[in-house]
Formats: sequence, structure tokens, C-alpha cells
Amino acid sequence: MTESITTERAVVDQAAEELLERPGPAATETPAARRRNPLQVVGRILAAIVVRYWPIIAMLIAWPVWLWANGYSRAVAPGPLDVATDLVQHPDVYLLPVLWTALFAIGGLLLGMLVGIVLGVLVWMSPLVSGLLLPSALILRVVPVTAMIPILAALFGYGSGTVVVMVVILVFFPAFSLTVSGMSSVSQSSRDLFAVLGSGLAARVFRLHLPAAIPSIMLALRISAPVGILGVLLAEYLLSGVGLGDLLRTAGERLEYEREWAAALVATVLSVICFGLARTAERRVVDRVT
Amino acid sequence: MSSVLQQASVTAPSTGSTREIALTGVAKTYPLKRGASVTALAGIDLEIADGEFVALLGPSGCGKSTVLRIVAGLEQPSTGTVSVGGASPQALSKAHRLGVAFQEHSLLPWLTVRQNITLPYKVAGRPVDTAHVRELIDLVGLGGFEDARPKHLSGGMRQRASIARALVLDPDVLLLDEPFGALDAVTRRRMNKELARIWAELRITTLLVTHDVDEAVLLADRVVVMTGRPGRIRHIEGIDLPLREHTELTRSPEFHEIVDRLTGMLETTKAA
Ligand SMILES: Nc1ncnc2c1ncn2[C@@H]1O[C@H](COP(=O)(O)OP(=O)(O)OP(=O)(O)O)[C@@H](O)[C@H]1O
Ligand SMILES: [Mg+2]
Repeated sequence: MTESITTERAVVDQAAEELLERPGPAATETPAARRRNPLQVVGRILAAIVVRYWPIIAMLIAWPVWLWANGYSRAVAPGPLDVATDLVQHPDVYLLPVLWTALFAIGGLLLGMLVGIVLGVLVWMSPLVSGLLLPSALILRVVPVTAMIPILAALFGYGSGTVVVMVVILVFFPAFSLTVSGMSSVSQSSRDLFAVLGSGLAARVFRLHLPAAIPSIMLALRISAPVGILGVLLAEYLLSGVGLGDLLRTAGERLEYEREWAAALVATVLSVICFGLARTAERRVVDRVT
Repeated sequence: MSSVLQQASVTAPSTGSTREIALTGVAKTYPLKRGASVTALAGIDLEIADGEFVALLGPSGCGKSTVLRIVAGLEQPSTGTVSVGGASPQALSKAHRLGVAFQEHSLLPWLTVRQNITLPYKVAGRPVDTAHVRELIDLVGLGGFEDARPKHLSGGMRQRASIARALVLDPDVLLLDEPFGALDAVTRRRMNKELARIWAELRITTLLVTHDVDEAVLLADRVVVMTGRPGRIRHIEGIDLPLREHTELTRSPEFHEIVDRLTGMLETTKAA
């Protein structure tokens, strides 16, 4: 049951990505037909960008059109140019918050993954631990993390501690359940091998089941990377005095809309980068272990 | 000499030597869906003496792998008993004295060839004898591929790596399930000769499952022919040929007489 929750999500993710990477009709062309002049190559690349990222392009066009149609002034909502100007003119305002947010996200992500993997190994090894841990893990999974903030803040203070804990809570569950299912997915012939080698439990865990779970664990990392950023932003917005979340809130309070929108944009880019890095890491590692 | 072993295997008491294998009245029934079941083995009595090499021949699906898995302690017989060196098969594997090359190679995909071959040391918690590993890699002809990973090897190369892994701890008992199945005829004969050479040196108690009658006659002291549905022993042939490691052996008339007879037996088995 615990496995199915995360696995469902992983399956949806996987399906979306396979859809994305499915070769289109153009891919059936022969390599010879592809080798044309440079202008055509550039055209192809541009076309690919448009096909992939058209929502972003559409948004960049619709944004000023929407402002103009409603007659909004800069004081109500900034245009793309205003946002870009503030980013270029005051990079120092964004730099430190980006670093804080990235630091918390990566730290929380790694810590959450570690917690999830360790719990997963313990639960896989022992039905007793499984009985003790599963209910609480499920509760942590089900309670909205924002509802936990008062308790967390009372326990860990209104600062970075709580930010990290929130990310850990958001991130550990996929790592946990995918570790368990990955460890259980070992083939019968590998189990037989370790049986005839006279393997003890420790060697079975660390030389067979845990390495076999690495693809699942990397999948958990990819699922969790954007969630980690989300968790940090939320916690910073609500609690701490640092990071992009804090910048978002203070800019909003001061009615600095260019800054607020720019902070949102930077946060989005950061999240996309995190996801991209996690995906690259996943591909590399999975290629190495399968 | 093999006739002596043969006789010993018939009368051998289970005391004294520590590496003999004994299957007594072994039957194996696998449960299927809806209460049905399949009888893979029925009434198998087989004793393999300490240091004896026995080959198992028989049509596909007759239960050869099942015999091997029972001796390896991976399956419990439904009835009957199995003992290795007077103890349970599990005791042997717990002592890290069992070497097995499975029908599927079962190399770990995240380890290189060398790491796969050294795995038994790691699992046993013993220091790795790098010189010995080196020797075995050369022996199975995988020199130059030590750092390749299984997915970059051919099927035959994977099988050879898993044979090296089965031998690496100098086991007391060696179980080989069609270890040369994916090899070309030339490589197969070369591996046969290497195995014969190692075996002449170490005298490991060995059970080899094969479809290749030549291979069985070439390597084994005794060849066991099985029939299927349910798996039974049809015939046991004691091989008493001189100069086992000699190249000329395969051309001798005695060799061919045995091979032809066993092949004929297999053909009628299949027809039945
Ligand atoms: N785990 C299992 N569950 C159910 N039936 C099984 C199982 N393993 C083997 N059998 C059955 O037992 C019989 C013998 O199988 P086995 O693998 O021992 O044959 P084999 O002689 O090794 O064949 P081959 O030469 O093709 O490898 C077969 O009929 C097979 O269907
Ligand atoms: Mg078989």
C-alpha cells in the first residue's frame, strides 16, 4: 500500500517522460536526409525548441498582451521587461537568496533521501521495524506539511532547522517506499547466487539488495528534487528570514512587484535546474548499475 | 581408477570422506495453480563419491536443474533425503565450500568481471587472493575484459565469468548447470580441457548438467542419463577411458562407442 502510493506517482512520471521522449514522425528520417546545410540545422533546432517550450513562449507573449488589455499599470502588475530589468540591475539582491534556497533544498533533499533509504533498509530487513514505523510514516505522508508548521516551529524554531525538517518530511517518503520496493525486486537467480555463496544478512543487504535498489532510489531523487525546492520556498515564505521564499514575501509586502515576480521566476528556474540535474544523475547512475 | 570410484560410490558409507553427495529416494513436486501440481522428479537415488565427477544427461525439462538445485540446497525434496558430506546442503554453502555456475549466468550487472569473480571472497569475508583471481580470469580466457561489465559481454563470456566465480574459492563441491551452453564448439572444447585439467588437479566433487554427450563422456567418471515426466534415472554409465586429458581421446573408437550408445539412449528417451 505504501509502495503503491509512490509507485503510482513514479509510473505517472515515467509515462509522461516516455511520452516526451517518444520519437516523432520526423525521427524516422534516415541520417543521410538529416545532413543538410547549416541554415536548415538551425531551423530544425529552433523548431524543436518551439515544439517543446511553446507554453513558455506563449506566456511571454500573452503576458504583456494581458496587461495592456486590462489596462494594468506597472504598479499593479509588472511586464516581462520590468522583471528582466530588475534582475539585471540588482543581481546582488537575488544571489544570496538563491544560494540559501539551493543550499537548504540540496541539504534537505540529501538528508531526506538518507532518512528514507535507512528506514527502507530497516523495514525491508525486519517485519517488526516495519510494523513499528509504517503507520507513523504514513501519517507523516498524509498530514499536509503546512499543518505541521506550528508544531515543527515549536520544536525546531523559526529558522533554518525547521526549513530542513520540512524538506526532509516531504522528501523521505518516496525514497523510503522506492527503496523497499527496489530491494524486493531482486531476481530469483541473484537470490540463489547469494544463498549458495552462504551469504549473511549484511552481505545480502549491502552487496545485493541495496545495489539492486539504486535505480529506484535514483527515481525517488528525481521525483523529490522539485518537491524539495517547493518545501524550502514554502518554509522560507512562512518562517525564516532568508532565501527566495523570504524575498518573495518581503517584496510582496513592500509592493515591489517586479522583484516579487522576478523572485518567482528565479525560483522556477532553480526548480527546473534541480530536476534536470537529478534526471541527469539518474540516467548516469542507472546506466552504471544495470 | 574411475571404476574404483564407481564402486566406492555404490558402497561408500557416509563416514570418512567429507565431500560425497547422496540423494536417497528423492522426489520433487511443484505446486501449480488451482491445486494442480507437476512432478519434476520421482525416486532419484544417486550417490556421488568424494572427488567424483558425474555428468547428468537428459532431454529438456526432465528435471536436471531440479536435481542440481536440490543438491545446492535451493529446493527441498518433497520426499527423500539429500546430504552433502553427511550434512545438509545448506551447511556446505554456509561454510562457503560450494561452487555453483547456474544455467542463467546471474552475474551482478553493477560489478565488473573482476569484481563479480571476487564476490565470493567478499561474501565469505575473506581476503581476496588477487593472483588466484588473475589466474582464473586467464584460464577462462577473459584477460583484457576484467573491467568490462556483464552487459558489454557476450553470452558465452558471461558464462565463462560465472564458471570462474564458481571456482574462485576452491570449493569442495562444484555444481555446473549447462555452463558451456552458449559457447561455440571450439571454445567449448578448450574450456572442457581446462576444466579437465583443473579437475585432475583438485578432484572437486562435481555434478555437471549438460546436453553435450561428448562433453559428458570426455569429462565425467560416470554419466547419468535421465528420462522425463516425471524425472527418473534411466541409466548410469561408468566411463573408464585412459588418458582423459589427451587430445586423441575424442578420436578413439572406445570413446565413440560410448557416445553413440548414450546418444541413442537419449533419442529413444525423447521419442518415448
Ligand atoms: N519453480 C518451479 N515451479 C513449477 N514447476 C517447475 C519449477 N521448476 C521446474 N519446474 C518443472 O520441473 C520440470 C523440470 O525442470 P528442470 O528445470 O529441472 O528441467 P531441466 O532438465 O533442467 O531442463 P533444461 O534442460 O531445459 O534446462 C519441468 O517440467 C518444469 O516445468
Ligand atoms: Mg535446466
